[in-house]
Amino acid sequence: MISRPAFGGAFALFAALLLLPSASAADAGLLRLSEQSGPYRISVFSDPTPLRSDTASLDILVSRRSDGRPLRPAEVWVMIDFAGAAGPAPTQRFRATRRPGGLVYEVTLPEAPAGPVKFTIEVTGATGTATVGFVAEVAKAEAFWRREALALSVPPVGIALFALHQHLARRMGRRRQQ
Amino acid sequence: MNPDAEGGGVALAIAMDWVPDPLIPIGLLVSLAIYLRGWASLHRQAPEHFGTGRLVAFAAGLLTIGLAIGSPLDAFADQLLQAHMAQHWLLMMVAPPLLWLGSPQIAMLRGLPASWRRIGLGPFLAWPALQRLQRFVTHPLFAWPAFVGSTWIWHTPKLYELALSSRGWHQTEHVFFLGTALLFWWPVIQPWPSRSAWPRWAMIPYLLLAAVQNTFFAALFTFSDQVFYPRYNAVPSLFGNTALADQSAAGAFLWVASGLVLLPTVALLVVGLLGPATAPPTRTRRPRLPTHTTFDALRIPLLGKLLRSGAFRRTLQLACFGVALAVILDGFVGPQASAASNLAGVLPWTWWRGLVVLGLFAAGSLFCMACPFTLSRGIAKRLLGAQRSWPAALRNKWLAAGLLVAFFAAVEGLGVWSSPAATAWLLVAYFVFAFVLDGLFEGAVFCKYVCPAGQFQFTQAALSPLEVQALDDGTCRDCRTTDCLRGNESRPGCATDLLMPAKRGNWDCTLCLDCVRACPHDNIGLIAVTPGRDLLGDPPRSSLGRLSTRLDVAAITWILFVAAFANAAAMAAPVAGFFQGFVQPSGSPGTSAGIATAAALVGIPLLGLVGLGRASRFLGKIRAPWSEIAARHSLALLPLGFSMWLAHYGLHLYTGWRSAGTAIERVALDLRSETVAPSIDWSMAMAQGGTPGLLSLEIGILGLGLVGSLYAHWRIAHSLQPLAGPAARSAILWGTFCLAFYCFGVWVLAQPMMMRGTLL
Repeated sequence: MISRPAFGGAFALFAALLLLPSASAADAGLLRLSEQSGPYRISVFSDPTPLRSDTASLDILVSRRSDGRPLRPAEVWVMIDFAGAAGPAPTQRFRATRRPGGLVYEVTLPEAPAGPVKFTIEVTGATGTATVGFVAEVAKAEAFWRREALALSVPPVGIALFALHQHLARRMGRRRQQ
Repeated sequence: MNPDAEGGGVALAIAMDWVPDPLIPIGLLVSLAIYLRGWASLHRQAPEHFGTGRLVAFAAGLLTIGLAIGSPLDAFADQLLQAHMAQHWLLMMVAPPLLWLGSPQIAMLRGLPASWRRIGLGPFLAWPALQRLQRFVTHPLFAWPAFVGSTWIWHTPKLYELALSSRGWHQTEHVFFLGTALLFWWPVIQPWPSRSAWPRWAMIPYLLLAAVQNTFFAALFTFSDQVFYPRYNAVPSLFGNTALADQSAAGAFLWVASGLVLLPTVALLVVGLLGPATAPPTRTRRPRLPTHTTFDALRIPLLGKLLRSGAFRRTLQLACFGVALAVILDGFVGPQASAASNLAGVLPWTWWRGLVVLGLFAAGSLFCMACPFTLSRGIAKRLLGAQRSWPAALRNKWLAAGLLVAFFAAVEGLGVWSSPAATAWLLVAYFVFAFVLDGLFEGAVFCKYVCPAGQFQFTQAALSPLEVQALDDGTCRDCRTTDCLRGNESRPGCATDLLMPAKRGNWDCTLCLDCVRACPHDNIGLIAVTPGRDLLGDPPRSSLGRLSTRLDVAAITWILFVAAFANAAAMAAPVAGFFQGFVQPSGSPGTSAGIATAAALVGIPLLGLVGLGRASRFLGKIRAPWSEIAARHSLALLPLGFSMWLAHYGLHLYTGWRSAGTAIERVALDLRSETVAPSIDWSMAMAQGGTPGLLSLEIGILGLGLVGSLYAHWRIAHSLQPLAGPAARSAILWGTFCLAFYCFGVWVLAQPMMMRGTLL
């Protein structure tokens, strides 16, 4: 037997805690490749998983092959080949920039058509140039309402809880009168 | 793909470039704050049940959740099965028992404001169906299979791969894990004051059976010769592990780590059962609610003393004065081409605006407390005499309403935000007007009747959690000196004419705390109130009267409500692009944007006040004049409007806070006459985007604002019309209007933004 206040508190706690993991979206991306090429080791992370045509980004870590230390500064270019899908120009070239204080170079990709996409990463540093590549499947963009379903559900959930509250309060009032 | 990637550098990159989700620390801190408030009250009342151990356990439980989902461990989960299993272990085996050891169900309930508990949660607490559901789901016969079933089902390759490939399903998986684990551990821990449905000894086989299934589960991973989850075969392995080795290690970890939790718990249960028997209490003693606990910020050690001190306020004002001076100087002599490299482009438009709304949200009109414009009020009054009375015709908010419209129209029309010189002129004008008006007239007429920023603070502070109030009404009734209003020989009274016993809410309160210092009875506090409570009633207020009779106050509320959306919309790329199409040969896109803003800020409030006021009078069959109805309902727009300000200005501060560093560095180099360009990291002046969940947080805040506004409209409609049907029709009318603005707000937030005060 559990007291009423105990349940109320548990209810509030559950509501608060169960929302927390739902908010877990922190990500450093999926490690797509980590290869030695020329004088460097190049590791590429992609986000989100799977890549979606509206919100795709690549993070590139370039380290020296000799001692494994991150290479800074470097010139990093990403070539995207949409050959597998109809749509924009077959190949586009983007320069990746380093996030302040971070180790990796990042590039946000333009809206790409869904389908297979070939990524080529070209790195130029003081000790030479290296190129790596991989092919990834880009999924269709997620509908806005679906992507933000949790945040958009705040008003309907609030209204539903309030309606239930009013119903229960009225019932309580009737019982007291009886 | 090279499978033998050296993990060190990659792992370091994953850890360093992991971006935290702001919702996680916010959620954890809110949970901890509610618990802490309740625990402190219970600790005073029943220390034998609520010792420090409970607080430590609960905090450790929250910290464990944070470690599992809000740390780089979450980022490694995509690359390493071991990391993913460690995450699940923390969510299922460590966090739940720690949380229940804190007995959070009572403490968190107590941590909520009494009115929320009684009125808000009361009907739910008394709902028999929910009580039956709770007894059912925490019964061992349900909790055990739910926990075990959840573990096995979610680790089947199909569902596990689904979770790895979809963020939504991954979140659902975590909800299941944490939810069923909380149920599983409930009968084991029996958080006080609950009682288990089964005898205590029954928990021994309950846990041992869980340990046995865990052994089978872990052994499958440890000894299998095939990789269960193809994803780990596809990604380059870290630390030279193959996917199979990673899987074996993950199984071994689960085996040992889960055993290390389950078996010692069994041992503790056995020891407890074999120990000296204690008579079971015939009835669980519930802690009684404290009679009245008022949180008074002025009673907090050190902070309270600081706030009461006039010197502290002057120090704050002096500091802000120094910053304002630097902004004015840089605005006039610094670079004009890029506002992001000028203090006048960054500090007022990115920092000040963000801090103002956060201050209002967290405490109250903190900016008014630290306002630099009124620092020289004393000197101005001595120099200019201050013997005139403010004209009776201007003793209202209409002048301030007009200035608000002019301010927002100028921001958009003249592009003040992008012109350091214009920003500097604006600040100079503020200083001059404050000095002249306060110097010529009695009291704080500039704050009360003129200052647009002050009106923003006064209206939005209706949603703040702190309020200057009399602690004991009886003391005020017996008071004959009213020093809080008039002041005395050594202390000034309220410059905005607020008499403490009749003061309601934060309207016209600049948080100067002169009344606190002047009160001879030490009867004034800065006390905690339910945010938004002030919107629902219509009591007579000192110096303002009833707000239902103040169309000027209603007009300001409307202007700020519309401005919240207009100001954010002007940043949205489609809206900015729309106004680009109106470029005149002699003008700029800003001119049309300014005219449109002014038209919106005058037209919508006018139509809203008259149209909605009359329509709700008709639909609600209310006898009161339409102006009173409109004025009352206008206040209910504040939650939605404030949520838009918070989402909008919070976004600027979050994404552009680094730009201040660039501007300050540039000023420092200018002062040393050094070359600027090569040594400054200009990337800091760019908006920092890419934070996951930021848009969700903004939309969520806006949603909470809508819910707050709908609730306020509902309550006001029912206070104006006791009959349920007509009152509901009236509330629905206003609710529909709010819903339209909410939809517009969501659309605006989802658009690409011009980030003012940054290089983007």
